[in-house]
Amino acid sequence: MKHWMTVSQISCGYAAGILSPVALTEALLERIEAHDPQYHAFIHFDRTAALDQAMHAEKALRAGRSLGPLHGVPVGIKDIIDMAGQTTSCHSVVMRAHIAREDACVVSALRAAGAIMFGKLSLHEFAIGGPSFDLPFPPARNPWNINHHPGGSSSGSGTALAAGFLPLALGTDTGGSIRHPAAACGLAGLKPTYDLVSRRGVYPLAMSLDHVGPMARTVEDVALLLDVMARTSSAVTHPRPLSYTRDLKLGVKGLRIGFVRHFHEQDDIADPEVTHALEQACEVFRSLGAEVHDIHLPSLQAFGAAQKVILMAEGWAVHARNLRERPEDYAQMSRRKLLCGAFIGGGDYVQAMQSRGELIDKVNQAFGDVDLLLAANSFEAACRIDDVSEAVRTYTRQARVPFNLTGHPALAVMNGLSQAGLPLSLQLIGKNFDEVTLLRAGAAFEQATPWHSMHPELLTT
Amino acid sequence: MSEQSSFKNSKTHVAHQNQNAKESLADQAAQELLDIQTLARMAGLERALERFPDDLQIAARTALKVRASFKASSDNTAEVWPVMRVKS
Repeated sequence: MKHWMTVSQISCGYAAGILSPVALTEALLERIEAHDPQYHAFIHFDRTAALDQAMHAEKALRAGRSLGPLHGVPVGIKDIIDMAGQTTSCHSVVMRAHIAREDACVVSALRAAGAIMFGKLSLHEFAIGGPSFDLPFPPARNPWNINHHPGGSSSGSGTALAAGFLPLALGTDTGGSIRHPAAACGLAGLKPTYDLVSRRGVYPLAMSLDHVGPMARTVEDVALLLDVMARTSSAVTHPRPLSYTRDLKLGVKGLRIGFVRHFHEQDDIADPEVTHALEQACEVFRSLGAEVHDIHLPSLQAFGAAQKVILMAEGWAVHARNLRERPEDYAQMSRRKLLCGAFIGGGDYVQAMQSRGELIDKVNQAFGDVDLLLAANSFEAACRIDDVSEAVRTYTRQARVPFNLTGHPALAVMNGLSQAGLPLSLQLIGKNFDEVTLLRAGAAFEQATPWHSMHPELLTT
Repeated sequence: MSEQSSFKNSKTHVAHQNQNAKESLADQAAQELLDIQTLARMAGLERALERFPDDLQIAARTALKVRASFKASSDNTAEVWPVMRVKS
């Protein structure tokens, strides 16, 4: 089935002449048109533009001019990322009239790599307020169960991938917004090292916490998308590998993995299904030859408090003018969250940044003894989407925030299904700019377990 | 004073204490509300205050809670991360 194909399968299909960009695009467009009216992954998609790009890609392939593994591969863009000539809505009334003058750096890189831009994906308003039902665009739904939350804020990215609308999508992550939908929708999602991927042309939520990253159904596809995204890197002091797929087949034998058990067993208590799936993941890594032992980091609360102060202060700086002049144009949830920053002082912000420095040092010290960290992702499976208070409560029950604060790369990988049939997920965290090892471990886990090959059945209209 | 009257007086005293505590809490809440309104005006949020007073109260209380849960670094002279860099 074309809609579950990975990037490698697509590339091989093109190379063998048994698949074409136009045929793939038409199949995916048909699926989107049939199902997206119920799932709401897209804010905007343009059939004609997608087909034009597909024809262009096909013509180039026929002429023997492939631009690489993403040539002719459809990608969805979270609608907080600029595409020239299109509205960047940020899922908000506030931005309805904002038409981007140029592509964001990551979009330019994707175009140069021959990817087909399918359109703009829904999100939580300004990547903070959702799921909200008081906005002009409905919130995305979880393909594993349409009554459940797909995670956020990159909710449309999660929904589009899990629904088989697209093989690749871009997300952004300030407090877990790539890894949360990856968890809720059973996907692979990477928050890269801070500064590995350019934020230029991406509407900020909190500049020092914001990351742009790849999302896909497999770790290999995440690595292939990262290859292109990292071309925009401003972190010139760290040489990039030739490809982030380099070590995907090496396995984890000999790798030292620190299991941050206290995050979900002491700092907060995860659902037993999550805890059980994490224990099983430890066993998988051990059986593959990795050393896994418990490791201690500062508490989730210490990371969370500093991150919240910084998020509130930076978010307020971005939104103060609009909140003063047109507060009614925000959804209630984002208005309440963004207004917090009005009550945070400059001194609070500086102290939170000082604390951040200390927390980074402590995580870096932990990496003196291990190659990777293993931690919980969400502390429970996705809640119902219509239960807003539960969505708010469960969003804080997670171990994603520490690595927005510290900037370390963090990969979400599916590691089970709940009894209710909803995905569970773990996180692997790497040393700064060591995405190669992180993706290597993620791929080894994925290959040793059945989860990545499971897909939800969509409702038919 | 009879035992009965003493008991009655002590009951009245407790009732007064409860009433005072309630009034004190109400005063505190009213003062907190005034403080939030003042801070909101100082932040230029008159329009939000007029149209969404509940949202402002919730936001202010959330911020207060976060500030209270945040433990500042023991070294208040430490340079923040990321440090200042000159621009070329």
